[in-house]
Amino acid sequence: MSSDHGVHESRHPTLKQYVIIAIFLFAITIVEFVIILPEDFRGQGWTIAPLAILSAIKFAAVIFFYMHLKFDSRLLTWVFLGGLALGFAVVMALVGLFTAWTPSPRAFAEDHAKPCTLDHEMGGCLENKPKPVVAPTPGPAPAPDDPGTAPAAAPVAPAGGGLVDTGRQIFITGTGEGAATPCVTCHTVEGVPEAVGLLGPDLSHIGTEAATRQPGVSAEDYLAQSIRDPESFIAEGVDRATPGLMLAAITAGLTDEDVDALVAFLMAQQ
Amino acid sequence: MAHQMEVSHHAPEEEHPTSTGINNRKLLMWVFLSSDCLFFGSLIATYMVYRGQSLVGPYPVDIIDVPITTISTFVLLCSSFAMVRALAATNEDRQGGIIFWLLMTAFLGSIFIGFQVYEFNLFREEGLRIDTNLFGTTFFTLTGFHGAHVTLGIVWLLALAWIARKGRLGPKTALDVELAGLYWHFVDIVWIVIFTLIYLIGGFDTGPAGDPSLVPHSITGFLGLI
Amino acid sequence: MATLTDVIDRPSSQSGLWSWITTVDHKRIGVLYGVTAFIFLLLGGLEAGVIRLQLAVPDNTLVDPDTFNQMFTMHGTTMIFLVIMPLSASFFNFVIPLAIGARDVAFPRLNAFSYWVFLFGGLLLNASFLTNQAPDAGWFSYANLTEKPFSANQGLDYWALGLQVLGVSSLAAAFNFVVTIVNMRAPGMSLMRMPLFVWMTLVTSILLVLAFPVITVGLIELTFDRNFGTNFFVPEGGGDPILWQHLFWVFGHPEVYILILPAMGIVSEVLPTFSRKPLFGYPVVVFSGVVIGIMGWAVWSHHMFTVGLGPVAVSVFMITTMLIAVPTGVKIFNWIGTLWGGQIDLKTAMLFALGFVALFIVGGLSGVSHAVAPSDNQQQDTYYIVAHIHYVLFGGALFGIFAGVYYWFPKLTGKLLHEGIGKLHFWLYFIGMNITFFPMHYLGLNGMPRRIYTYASEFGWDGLNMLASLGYLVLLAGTLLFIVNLMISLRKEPDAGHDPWDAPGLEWSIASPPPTYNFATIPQVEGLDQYWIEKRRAEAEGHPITEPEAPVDPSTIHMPSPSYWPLVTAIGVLILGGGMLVDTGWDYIRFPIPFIGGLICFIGIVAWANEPPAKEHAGDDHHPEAGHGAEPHAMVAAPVAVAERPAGAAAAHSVRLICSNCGNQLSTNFRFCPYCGGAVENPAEPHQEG
Repeated sequence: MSSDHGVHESRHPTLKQYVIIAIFLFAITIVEFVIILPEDFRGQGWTIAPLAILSAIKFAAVIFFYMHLKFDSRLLTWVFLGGLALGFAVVMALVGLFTAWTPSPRAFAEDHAKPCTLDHEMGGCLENKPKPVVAPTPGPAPAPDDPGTAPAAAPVAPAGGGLVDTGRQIFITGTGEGAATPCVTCHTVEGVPEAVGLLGPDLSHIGTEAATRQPGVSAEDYLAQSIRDPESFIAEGVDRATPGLMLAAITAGLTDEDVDALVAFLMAQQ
Repeated sequence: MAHQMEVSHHAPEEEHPTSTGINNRKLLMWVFLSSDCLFFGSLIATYMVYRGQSLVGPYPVDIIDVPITTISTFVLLCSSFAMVRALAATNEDRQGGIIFWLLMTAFLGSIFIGFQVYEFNLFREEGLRIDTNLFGTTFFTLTGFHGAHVTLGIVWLLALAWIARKGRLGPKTALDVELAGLYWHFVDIVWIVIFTLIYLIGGFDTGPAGDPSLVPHSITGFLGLI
Repeated sequence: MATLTDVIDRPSSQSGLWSWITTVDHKRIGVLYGVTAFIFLLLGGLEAGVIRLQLAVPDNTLVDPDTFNQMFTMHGTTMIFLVIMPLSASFFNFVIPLAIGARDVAFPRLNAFSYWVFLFGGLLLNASFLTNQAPDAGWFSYANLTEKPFSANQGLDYWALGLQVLGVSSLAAAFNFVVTIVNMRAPGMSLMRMPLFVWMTLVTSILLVLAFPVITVGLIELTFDRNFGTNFFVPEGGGDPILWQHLFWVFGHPEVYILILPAMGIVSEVLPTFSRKPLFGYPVVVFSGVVIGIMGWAVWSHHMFTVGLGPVAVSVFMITTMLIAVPTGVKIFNWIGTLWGGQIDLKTAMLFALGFVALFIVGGLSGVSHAVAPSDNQQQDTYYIVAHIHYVLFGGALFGIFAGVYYWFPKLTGKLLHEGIGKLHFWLYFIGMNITFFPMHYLGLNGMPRRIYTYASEFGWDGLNMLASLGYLVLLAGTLLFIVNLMISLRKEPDAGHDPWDAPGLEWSIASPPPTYNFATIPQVEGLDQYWIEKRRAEAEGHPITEPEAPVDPSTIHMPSPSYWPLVTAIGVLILGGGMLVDTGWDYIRFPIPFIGGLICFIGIVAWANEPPAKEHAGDDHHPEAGHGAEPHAMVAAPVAVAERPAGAAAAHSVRLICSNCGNQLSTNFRFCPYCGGAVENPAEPHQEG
C-alpha cells in the first residue's frame, strides 16, 4: 500500500516470453484433454485433482504474465486475489452447505415416512395423520405411533347415522351463519382430514372420554354444555396457553338441532 | 453490466501523481475484475450445488462434446495471445500491428462465440433447453453470461480498432488497450475454470442414479463435487 | 459517434436546473443524493405509518392483507436500498474528497452516473404502485413465494429489476470510492492518518464491490425463473428454494454492515470533535472496522437457523456470529473511552451520536441473543426481530446519519441548523424510537409473528401495539420538526463560519460552503486529525487560525466540466432494466425494449468517451491528438501560485509537548493528550495552556 511501489510503468514480458507462455498454455490444455481421453478415466473421481491443479496453473500463468500482475504493483495482486479468494470461499461454503454439512432431507424423510393408504372417499391418508402436538386428553389414548393399534378408519357411527353426518358437516364447515369459525380450525379429530387444528384439545376420542369427565354429568350433556359455554368445564391437562380462546360467541349461532348433531358426531369419536 | 465499458475510454494518458502510483483507471479495472470474480463465483456455485440434481435428461454425458469445446478453448487462448501482441504493438507504436492484432483478437473471440452459438443450437435440437432440467438451467445461465462477457469484449476491441485507424492509439494511450486486455484475459481465465468444471470434470455426469459420487448430502458427495 | 460529440459542446451552465442535471461536482451530487434519499425516507415513513395504523388496534380492517403485504415489503426495501444506503452515499460524496484533501472523486462523471441510476432505480421500484402491482413478498423475498404461481402479477419483477438497476448504481459508486480513497489522498495522508469516516467508507465500498455481484446473480436467477421457466428455486424441477436464501444472505449480511459502518464512521468523527479529544485507540477502531468487514462474510446463515441446515452448519455460524460481536464491542468501548475525560459539548450532532451508541448497544445485545441458535428458534420471524432490526437501523444507522447531517450541514451551506429545534428533534426521535420499538421485544417474545396484518384481541397484544403506534406519531413529529429546522436554517444568513465546531478534519480548513475546487492548495498532511494539528500549532505560535484558506480565482484551477452523457447512459440503464417488464410474447424477441436501452447505453458510453473538453480548456492542457477522450482530471491543477503554508510548519516539528497528566511525549501540538485526554504542557511556553 505504500507509495514506493511507483513501478507501474511496468516492464512487459518480451515477445519470446509471450510465445513460451502461449505454448505452455496449449501444452497444459492438451494434457488435460489427454487425461480424459480414455473412456475409463472419464468422470472418475481421481481425475478431479490433476484437472483442477492444471487449470489453476493455467489461471496463474494468464494473470501473472498476460495480465502483468507479476510486473505490476503488489496492491493490484492483492485486490484481485482478495476477490478471487472470497469467490472461491463462497463457492466452497455453498457447496458444503448443500452437501456434506447438511443432513439429507431425503434420508430423514425415508426414515420417518409411513406407508400411506389412500382414503378414496375423503382424500388423504388414513393412517398417517399428523401427530397432534397438543395431546391434552387424559385417559388411555392409544399410541398413535403404532399403526397396528391405531383405529383403522373413522369410527363407524353407532347410531343415528344421519345426525352424525350432519354433525360432521357442521364440524368441518360451520353453519355458515353465526358460527363463522368451524370447529376444525382448532380441533383435531382422527379420520377427519380437515380436522387437524392444534389450538384446542384433540377430540379424536372424546366420545369415550366425555363420560368420565364430570361426575354426575352425562357425556351428551357434558358435550352440549361445553359447546354452548366453552369455559364451563376445563378438562385436566388441557394446555391453557390462551385462556378463553374459544369464545361462546363462536358457537352462539348454533341452533339446538346443530348442537344435537355435533354432540352425536362427537359421541361417535370413540 | 454497463459500467464495465466506461473504464475503457476515460482519459488520455496524462500522468499525474496518485497516492499509490497506480493509475486510477487501472485500479478501477482491477477492482471491477475482483468484483466480477464474485459474480462468476455465484453462478459457478449454483452450477455446483445443482450438479447431478436434474430430475430428467438429457444429462451432461448425453450431450456434452468435449473435443469440440477443447478446440474453442484453444481459440480463446489464441485470442489472449493476440491481445498481448496488440498491447506490445501499441507500446512500440507500430500502427499496423495495433489494428491487425486488435482485429485478430476480436476475430478469434467471434470464432469462440460462433462455437458457443453452434453448441447452444445443437443442445436445443437434442432436447436440452434452459427450462428442461437443472443442468440446462445452470449450464445455459453460466455459459451464457460468459458468452455475454466475451461479446462485450469484442465490441470493446472493435471500438478500439476503430479509434486506432486514425493513429490515435500509441504509447501515450497504451492504457486504453491495456485495460481492454485485462478484461479480455479475465474472460479467458473464467473460461479456463468453466471448461474444467463443466466439460472436463462434469461433462460425463450421468443422471442422479448413476455415479455414487454424485449423490449429494454426503462427505463423498462433497469431495466428488469439488 | 465522433460527429455527435463534435456538434454538441460540453454543457457549461453553472446555475439553474441544467447545471444540476449535468453536474459532475461531488458536492452537488452529494446534495442530490441526500435530497432524493430524504424524499424516499418520507415515503418509507408513510408506508410505516400505514403499517402502524393497521396494527394499532386488533381486528383492524383499515387495509386489506394484500395492501399490508405491499406496505411492509416496500417499507423494508425503500428504507434499506433507497434511504440508508443513498444517505450514506450522500455523505461519501460530500465528505470524502474534502476529508482526504482532493478536488473531486476519481471519476466525476461515473459519480453523476451513479446518482442518476440510483434515482431511476428508485423510481422504477416505486412505479409498481402506479400499476397497483407493488412487490409483496417481504424485503428479502424468499423463494418460492416469489415464483410465478405464488406471485402472479409483476410485483416481484419490479422488485428484482429495480434492485438490479440500483445494484449498477451502488457498484459504480463503490468502484469510484475505492479508487478515490486509495489513490486520491493528499500527500502525507497515509492509510493510518485517514479519518475514521474515510476508513469506514473504504471498508463499506469494498463490501459493496464484493457483495453486490452475489445478489445480482440471485436476482438474475429469480428473473429467469419468473420469465424463462428455469428451475433455480422451483422444487418441482429439482431446484431448492433454500439456495435463494443463501444467495440473498451471502449478500445480505455484508449489506447489514454496508448500512451500519458509514454511521459508525460518522459517529467516530462526531464524538472526538465534541469531546475535544482524539478518538481513543484509533488503530484499534480501524482494525475492528476491517475485521467486521471481513467477518461479515462468515455469518450469513444465522438468518437461516430455522431452515434445517443441520447441527454442524448451525454451530459454525453460531460461533462466527458471536465472534463478530467482539470487534463491534471493541468499537463501543473505544467510543466510550473517547468520551472519558473529554470536554463534552452536547450539541445536537453529539446528542445523535450518543443516541447512536446507546441504541446500538441495545440492538447489538438483542442481536447477540439471535446468535444463540436455540434462542433464535423462538425469536425467528417474530416482532423481536423487528425490534432488533429497528434498533440497529433506526437507532443505529439513521441516528448516525442525522448526527452527520447536523455535523456537516454548516460545511455544506455555511449555515448552522437551529440548535434548539435540533435538540427537540433529537429527543422526539430518541423517545419516539424507544416507545415504538421497545415494546416489540415483548410482543415478539409473547409470540406476535412479524408480517401479520391483524391479530385477535385475545392474544393480549393490544396495549403494546397501541403504544408502538403512538410512538410512530412521536417519530413523525420529530421528522416534521427536522423539515421545519431545514426551512428555517436555509433561509437565514450564513452564520457558521468555516469551522464552527473546532473540528479535526481537513474539510474544516476551507470556506463554507466549499469553493468548487475545494482546496486552493492541496494540503500536506502531517498526522491524524490534521486540522487540529495546524490549529494548535498556530495557537502555540500566537496567531490562531480564524480564517479559512484564502480563495483563488476558480478559472485558474482546472475542474471537470459538466456532462450530459452520464444522464443519457443512466436512462439507457433504466430502459435496459425496466424494459424487461414488457413481455411481448413474441417467438424470438420476447423482450425487445431492453435492446433499445442497451443501444442508448452504448451511444451514451461512446459519447462519454469521445466527449471534448470544455471550450475554454480545449487545446491548452490536453494533447492535441487526444480529442477522443478528455476526462478532465480533478487532480490536474494549473500551476497556480498560492500562498505557502505558514512558515512555522518546519519549526513546529521541533516543539516537543509533554502531557502533564500521564507524561507521554507528543510529537504534535495538541492542547490535550491523545493518550489520556489530560492537559498538555508546552515546554516552550509553559503557561500557555491550563
